[in-house]
Amino acid sequence: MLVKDYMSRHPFMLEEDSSIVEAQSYMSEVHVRHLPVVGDGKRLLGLITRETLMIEPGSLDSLNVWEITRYLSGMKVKKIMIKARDVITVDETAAIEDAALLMIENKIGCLPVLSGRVVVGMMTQEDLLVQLCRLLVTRRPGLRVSVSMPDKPGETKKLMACVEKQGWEIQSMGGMPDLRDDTRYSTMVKIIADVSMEDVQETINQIEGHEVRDIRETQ
Amino acid sequence: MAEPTRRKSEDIPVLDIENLAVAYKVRGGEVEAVQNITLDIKKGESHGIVGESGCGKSTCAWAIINFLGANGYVKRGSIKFQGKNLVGKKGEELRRLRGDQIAMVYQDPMQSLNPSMLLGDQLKEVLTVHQGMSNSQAEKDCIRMLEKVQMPDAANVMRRFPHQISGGQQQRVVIAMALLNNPALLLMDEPTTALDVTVEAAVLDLIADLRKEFNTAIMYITHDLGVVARVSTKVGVMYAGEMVERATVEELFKSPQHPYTQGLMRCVPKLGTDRSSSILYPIPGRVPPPDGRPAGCVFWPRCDYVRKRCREERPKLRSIAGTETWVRCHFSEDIDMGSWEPPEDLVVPGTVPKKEVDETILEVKGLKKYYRVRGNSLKDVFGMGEKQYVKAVEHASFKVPRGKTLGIVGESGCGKSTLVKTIIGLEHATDGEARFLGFDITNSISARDRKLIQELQMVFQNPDSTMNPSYTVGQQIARPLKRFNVMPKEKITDEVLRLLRSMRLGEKYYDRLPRQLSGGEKQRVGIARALASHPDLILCDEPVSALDVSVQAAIINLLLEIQEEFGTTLIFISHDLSVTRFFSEYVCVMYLGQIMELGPAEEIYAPPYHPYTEALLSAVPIPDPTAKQKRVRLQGVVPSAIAPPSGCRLNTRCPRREMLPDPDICLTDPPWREVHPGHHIYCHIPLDELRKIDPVVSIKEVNHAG
Repeated sequence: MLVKDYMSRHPFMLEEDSSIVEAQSYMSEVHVRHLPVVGDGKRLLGLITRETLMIEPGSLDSLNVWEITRYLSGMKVKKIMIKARDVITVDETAAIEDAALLMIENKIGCLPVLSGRVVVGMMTQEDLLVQLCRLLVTRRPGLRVSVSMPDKPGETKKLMACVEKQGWEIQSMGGMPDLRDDTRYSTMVKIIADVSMEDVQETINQIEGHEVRDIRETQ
Repeated sequence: MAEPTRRKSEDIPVLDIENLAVAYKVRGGEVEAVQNITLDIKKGESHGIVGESGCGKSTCAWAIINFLGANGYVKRGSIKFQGKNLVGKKGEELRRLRGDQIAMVYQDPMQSLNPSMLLGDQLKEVLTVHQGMSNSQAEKDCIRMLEKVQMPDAANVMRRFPHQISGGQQQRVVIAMALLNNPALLLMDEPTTALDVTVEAAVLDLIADLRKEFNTAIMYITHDLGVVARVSTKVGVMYAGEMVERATVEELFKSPQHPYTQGLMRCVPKLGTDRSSSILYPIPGRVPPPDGRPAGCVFWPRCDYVRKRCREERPKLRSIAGTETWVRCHFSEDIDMGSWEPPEDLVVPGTVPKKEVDETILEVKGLKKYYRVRGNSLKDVFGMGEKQYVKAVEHASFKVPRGKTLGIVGESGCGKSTLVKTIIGLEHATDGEARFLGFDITNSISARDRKLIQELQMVFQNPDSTMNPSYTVGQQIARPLKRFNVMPKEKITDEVLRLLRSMRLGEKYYDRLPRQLSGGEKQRVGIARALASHPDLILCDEPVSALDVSVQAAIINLLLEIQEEFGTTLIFISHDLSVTRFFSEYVCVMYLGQIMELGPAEEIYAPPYHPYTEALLSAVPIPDPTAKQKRVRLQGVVPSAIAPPSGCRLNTRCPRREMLPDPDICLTDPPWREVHPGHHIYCHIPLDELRKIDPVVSIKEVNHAG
């Protein structure tokens, strides 16, 4: 699961000579909040975000209404964009969790994905959320079971063995340490099986130390 | 997998054309070549565009990159690329877009390759100039890309010139070059039309794989419905500069809505269906020129369902309720394709079974044609070097009964044309026997009796190059009549007119010059000229491959009709296996100068196959996306005919070689295995093994188009 497999390929891009008026309308037209600015050969020159387009009135030469209009219409993207050296980017071969970390640590919403200096895609927070949904296989009929188990080696294996013995199909699985109790581990399994929720709950509860915290059907 | 969330920005098409009209300024006004085109292509989609020539397919693609020439311009409408309107963009910005985000692949790869530069340099240039990449890194990336397009020996190809690789490989280099910049949109204008069917199949597989891998939007222009069925997700059908139908590929082939689309489906022969159901029905008339389009619906003069409203009111492109199909027809809901009846005056030949005749008109035994090639060494200059030959035809043996058709199929360079040229006497046979009506015909044409020349005539692929441009049609046809003294002088004009009528050309064509005729009409004149001397045998060298499908159907029907009327024997060369199947009683499959399989058409197209026939059949694009076709691909390139592989000539590429317990046996000459009397396979693999192979094509449901 690498960035290059899950980024948006062929992102919308701007040229550095585009006017900021153009950039603003382009952004709302194509429903994105970040636009990489590229030069010849799609080389990254900068980045335009919603925030960069919010120009401080103080930075303008004059506050005369008529002057502002003229000034803004002549302003080019390259004047206000975040310059390439300050843009936080990710290489296409990075793992998606590393991309997520980069975004969290720097409090940013998007990462231009580069191959060398060339923009090959964009990775946004939204992309990561889409991947999270995919990872947990939402919107498919099945049973979503949250299991709490002791946080020690071999426990997941027990659960797997139990599911396999019943002949249920596992669609997806994810787990993390329980945030409130550091001796336990929470796992979510999505299974496809022609059984009632009660049966599933009962079967899993029989494993020593395991407890079904939540069970529901998904569509 | 169901898409969990669709994001708004993902729904913005890469290319969004709305209501486009392109006009060319000409003397005395302007001509709208393309009108009212609306289409959109999203990421990872492949949008096919089909139509006959002159329908504005290419103009449409050129408009996107503003490649219309000095007199062409976008008159109305918008072309949006990634949400930005391209119409009216300045040169510099467009140039950058073309370099970085939009790539094109044309029919002829040599138009995009510089013949004087090494392929490696041309490929690297894309990366070093545009992306400022270092030379060594660019070299690595280029080799990787060449490997992605399945180029054999990629590192070596980098150090070659374009002329040193084959046509299919050239096209791969062009595709690799187009993809190096990772374009968002790829425009392909007939990229496989000039390639052999086996190479075409490999390139089409490649395009489908690359589309998925790079998520590129592809606009694929072609005239071939079979190719569209294989590569597209959506299809637009164009007619006379307008888009007449747009649908997903499954819908289009399952239930074509527009009468023109239905007509197109009826005039392509299909593999897999039996012969009687694949009667071809040509669309009457031809595509009107841009300045002569009728009022009302552009298609009404050729439409079988025309009503008053069609003549008066131009239909709008409207969506059919409950489907993704858009159609430009007033009455498409009322038209049921299944109940279509051919017009009464249409003569459908080929339905009456031919009489069984035992007389053999042409018999060829062990025919050989070698061409001497001179080497470049000093020894060769003095004539002391070893003599080298191109073995164009080797040991060809077959018989053709009177009144039947023999089809010859094979890749280019397999010796089809040489064989025919040797029979007609344009080439002198090196060895072997050929007897026509009992006369020896291995000598060249100048040594032949005039009577014999009269009985053997030929129809060529390109009617342009075989007609004297300054002779009128009447003179062209009258010439063989005069030369052979077929009839007294005063009757010649009547005979020419009769021939013209039988070609459905009419008397008004008598005084026309070749340049005033369309391609199909020229081919009709070529056939009339071949028929003029009342020959017993006509050799047709790819007579329909340069023609549009609807014209192709008409010419094929015409040839069949002639055969029924005059009892003429035909030898029909074609690279198109579906046409050959439809046309011939006997088929001969050639590879590298050698006949591989010979027999009745029905049996050639069903197991047991020769491995080469099997590969050819699995490469044929079938105009039916639901048809199941096995994927058997030949590896590597056709070996040189100067030093062909010993034994079975296919042994270097044979996909079935591993079926033999001892593959080395292929290095010896294979036996002629007889399946039935008259059906022979030239292969080491025993027939029982070959019989176990499944048929290549299986069609699930009855085709509506049949």
